[in-house]
This record gives sequence, C-alpha cells and structure tokens, in this order.
Amino acid sequence: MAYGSTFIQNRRGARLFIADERPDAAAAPGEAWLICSPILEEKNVAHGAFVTLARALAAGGVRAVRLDYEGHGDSDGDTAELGLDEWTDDVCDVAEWLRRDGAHQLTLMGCRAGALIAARAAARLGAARVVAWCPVVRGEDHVHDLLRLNLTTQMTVYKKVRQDRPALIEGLTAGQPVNIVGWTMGRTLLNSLMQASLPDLLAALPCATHILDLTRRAGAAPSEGVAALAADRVAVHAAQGLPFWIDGNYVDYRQDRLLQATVTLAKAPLQ
Amino acid sequence: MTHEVFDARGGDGLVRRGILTIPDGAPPRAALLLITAGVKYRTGPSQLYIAVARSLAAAGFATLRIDAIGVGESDGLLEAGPSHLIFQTAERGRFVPDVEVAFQALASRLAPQVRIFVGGLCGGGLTAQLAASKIKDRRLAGVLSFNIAVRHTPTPGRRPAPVTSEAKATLAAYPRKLLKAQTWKRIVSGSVRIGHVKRTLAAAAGKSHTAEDSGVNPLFIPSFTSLLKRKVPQLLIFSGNDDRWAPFSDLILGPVLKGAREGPAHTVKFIADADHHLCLPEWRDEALGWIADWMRDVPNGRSGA
Repeated sequence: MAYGSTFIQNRRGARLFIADERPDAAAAPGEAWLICSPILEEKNVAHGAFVTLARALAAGGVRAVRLDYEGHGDSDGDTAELGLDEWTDDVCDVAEWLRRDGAHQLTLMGCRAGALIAARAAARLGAARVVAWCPVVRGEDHVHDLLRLNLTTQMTVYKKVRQDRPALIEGLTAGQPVNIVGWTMGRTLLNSLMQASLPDLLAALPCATHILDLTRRAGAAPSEGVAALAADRVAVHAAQGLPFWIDGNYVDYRQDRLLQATVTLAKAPLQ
Repeated sequence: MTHEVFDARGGDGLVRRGILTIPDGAPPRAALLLITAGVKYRTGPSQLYIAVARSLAAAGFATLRIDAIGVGESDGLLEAGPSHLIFQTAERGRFVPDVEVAFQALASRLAPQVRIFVGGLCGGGLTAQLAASKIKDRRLAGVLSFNIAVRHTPTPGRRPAPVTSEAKATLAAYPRKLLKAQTWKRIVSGSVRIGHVKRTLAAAAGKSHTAEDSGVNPLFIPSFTSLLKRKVPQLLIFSGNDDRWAPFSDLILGPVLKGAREGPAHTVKFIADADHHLCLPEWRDEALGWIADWMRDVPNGRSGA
C-alpha cells in the first residue's frame, strides 16, 4: 500500500487536505472510495477510525481517499459561514480530482452527518454506491445534539444555563454564531441541517445504499430510526461496537466488526 | 502562510506525519512543535492546535503539528482499550520518542539558527516536558503546555486523594448538597464513601497525602525540575474550570516554585473561566497572545542545552 497526502483547492479557493491510500495491486482499477467524515468535533474524535478504514480498504485492493471539509482538520477555513452545501461541494471537488486521476467508479462513504453529505454528493456525482456508518437520519436531531454540547459548556463555565436551546436557535437564526466545544456553528450550518433528511436523500438516489449501524450487543437490531431506512435499494446492517465519535471511556479505532462488514461490502461487485 | 505535509521517519522505520505551517515573508524566527494531546490527532481537540499554528504564523513563527505513532495520519495503530489506560501510557512517556524524532527532522528542515519550542495540551504538554528533559540539542528553545497533567489519569471509580484546594472546594459545596434529597438518599443507603469524605476532610485541614495516594505522576517533578535547573524556558497555561489546575497549584506552584508564577525560566498563566480545551475565542485569544509574546521574549542562544 502507498500513503500519500496533499492539498487541493476547492471551488471557493480554500485548500482542502486529502489523504490517499492506494493498494499495491488494485482489485478493480478505476474504483475508489471517498470517505466523508462526521462534522465538527465528532470528526476529530472519530478520525482514527477512518484512517483504519482507508488502510483496510487499500489492503483489500481498493483505493480510499479521505478529505477534510473546509474548516475541518488540516484544511483552511472556519466553520462559521459554512454548512452542508459547502461541504457537499468539497466532496464533489475531491471527486473531480479523483476522476482526473482515473477513479471513475466512486463509492461515497459517510459517517454521522457525513452520511448526509455523502448522500447529497452521490446524487450529484452519479456515484456507484453509498455506504453510511451510523448516519444522522434527521439533521434537526443533530442540531439538538450539537446544542447540547454548548449547554454542557455553559454548565461547566457558569454553573448554570444562561442561554437555553430555544434562545440559542433564535440567536443562530438572527445570525449570532454558537460555540460548539470550540467550533463555530453559524446560521448556514443550522439551516442546512434543519432541512436535511436522510430518507428523502436516499429516496432520490439511483444507486444502492448500505447502512451499517452500531449496536452495543452482538446480534441486536439497528436503532429504530436507522432500521426504518430499509427500502428497495437501501440495505440496513448492524455491527456491534461503541460510538467512536464521542469522547468516552474506551478508545477503539479498529472497530473490528464495522470494519469487517464494510470491507466485505467493498469486495462485493458493484451493481 | 503556507502549509507543508511533513514526514519524520524514525530509527524504527515508522513515519510520523504532520503539517508544517510556515509564515509568509521572512524566514520563521522560531518554531513550535506540537504533539498529540491524549489520543487526539494533530489538529488538537476542538482545533486548538490549528488556532495556535495560524496565530503563530501571523506572528512570524513556524508550527509543526505532528501525530505520534498510532495516532492520526502516522504509521501504526493505537491499541483498543479503556481510555484511562491508554492515557496512562502517554503519561509514562509513550510518545516521547515521537517528539525526539520530529524535533530532529524539524531541525534539519529549518535554517540552523531557528530554535524550536515543544509543546502540547494536557498529556501532550507532559509528553513535551518529558521529551525536552531528554533533548540536549542547543536548538531546544522552551516548553509550552496547556493544562498539563501532574497526576495520572485516574481509573474510573478510584478517585485520587484530593489536594487541599480541591478538598476545600468540595467542602464548600457540602451545604448545597445537603439540601438535596438525593444526597440524603445516598447517606441513608450507605453509598457515601466514608473513606473519601475522611480524605477530603484531612486534605482540607492541610494534611498532605502520599504522592501515590494523590495519583501524582512520578515522572512529572523530576522532568520539570531538570528543565528549571537547565533554565529551559517554560510557559504553563492553565484553565480555572479544569481538574489540572488544583494539583499543579498545590503540588508544584506552591512547594516547587514557592508560589512564583514568574521565574527565571518559567511563566505560569491562568484563565479563570476557561475549560480544558479553551473552547471560547476570548480564552484562546488571550492564550495565543501570551504564547507569541513568550516565544518572542526567548532570546536566541538562551540556554536550553
């Protein structure tokens, strides 16, 4: 396998960091996976899991490329004025770079809010397949998860909540950004998440989608919201593991079962 | 500013990967090497290291944000396991060789007169301190830490004996706690840890516990004092809303530094409201200003070897 990394410029002129894991001998030349991480701090916490995934895919003969959206990771920018539209553009820009480099059959893989971005990009790119890990099903729910982090910071600092959730949303709507554990969430991200619905996005996709959800117990069914996504072209699978995008009492970048299930998917022929 | 992908291969054959940020215009006056905080990769928790690199570039300094082996983009893969056990391996110096390898690679990359600071957040700050105590290169300019950990990360459910200021804070909260029904339920059910209450009362009365009881990392004081003796400049930034301040204040600032926040080779800064990652922009701006000023004030050729 060969690891490479570089910066490319997105359509807004910001430099995006890209990591490229190439197999020694490609099982299917012209095929590549483009990995769309979660957003904000979930991206940082989960980073190791995507490095592991990309290495496992490359070891299995599939090229895997990861990108840092603008305002994330090693890329330029600040998240204050950005949202799902801009990050979907980033994925499309990297896909274009990949196509110029000979990768014409793309699997878009996304985790958490990255699944929303992958599904949006897949529709625009005519992707061959979408794979989602533990996706955010409704963007609105994710907004509430993010705002909860702000409330936790308020409790730590002020020992009370000075601005509750409705007040934060009101402020955001009026253009006042909110700090989410060091990240800036602005109106652009709020609006794009509030409108994002994974069922709607998947319904519009012509390609197959595989969703892998994490369960705490082996053999348990996926969560209700994720299970409900199953449809003609949408297969839902479960794999045992712990949420690796949240700082917790256990560190596991291997995510063995999730990884094994994903590599198995990668080996299956594209339809 | 420009950003370069930076590789540092060690004698073990493994590659540590990072991003080197270089200021525009004149060559950098000095550089800062930032190492993995806990197990967070080179952007730092909540992009803290990104903020540092951008701010320092504007002030004319270079920054290398490097991943330790097994973390982020570097070779290897961190083992799965309970967080506290993995953090404790870092606190015992697991990532020190990564700093040493990156330091040499950075020294080779930059002009010979450019001096290099090492630093990090929490366990990253400790890694930098431990590495600096081993690096004898004259280009070592100083050590920066945010919320450095004097104690080992505790095993869940086994709290270390509190230091005096922690105990006093706990006691101050008792009257409020006694008004809560939940507290009385715990007292009646016998789930209150009498041993911990006793330790708290003893600590509040000024009784010191053994280093082992207090969970102090035995590597902290020797490495810290060796840097003081060598007059390697150290900037230590702490947050008031963070568990690292009280142990540092009671166990190091008082007995070792005699309460002096400024000394010939050390500066201790404190942001009262800040949290562990300095999440709010005003806290970051304050800290970033201190860092740039401190790096400017360390003259070329000052002892560090």
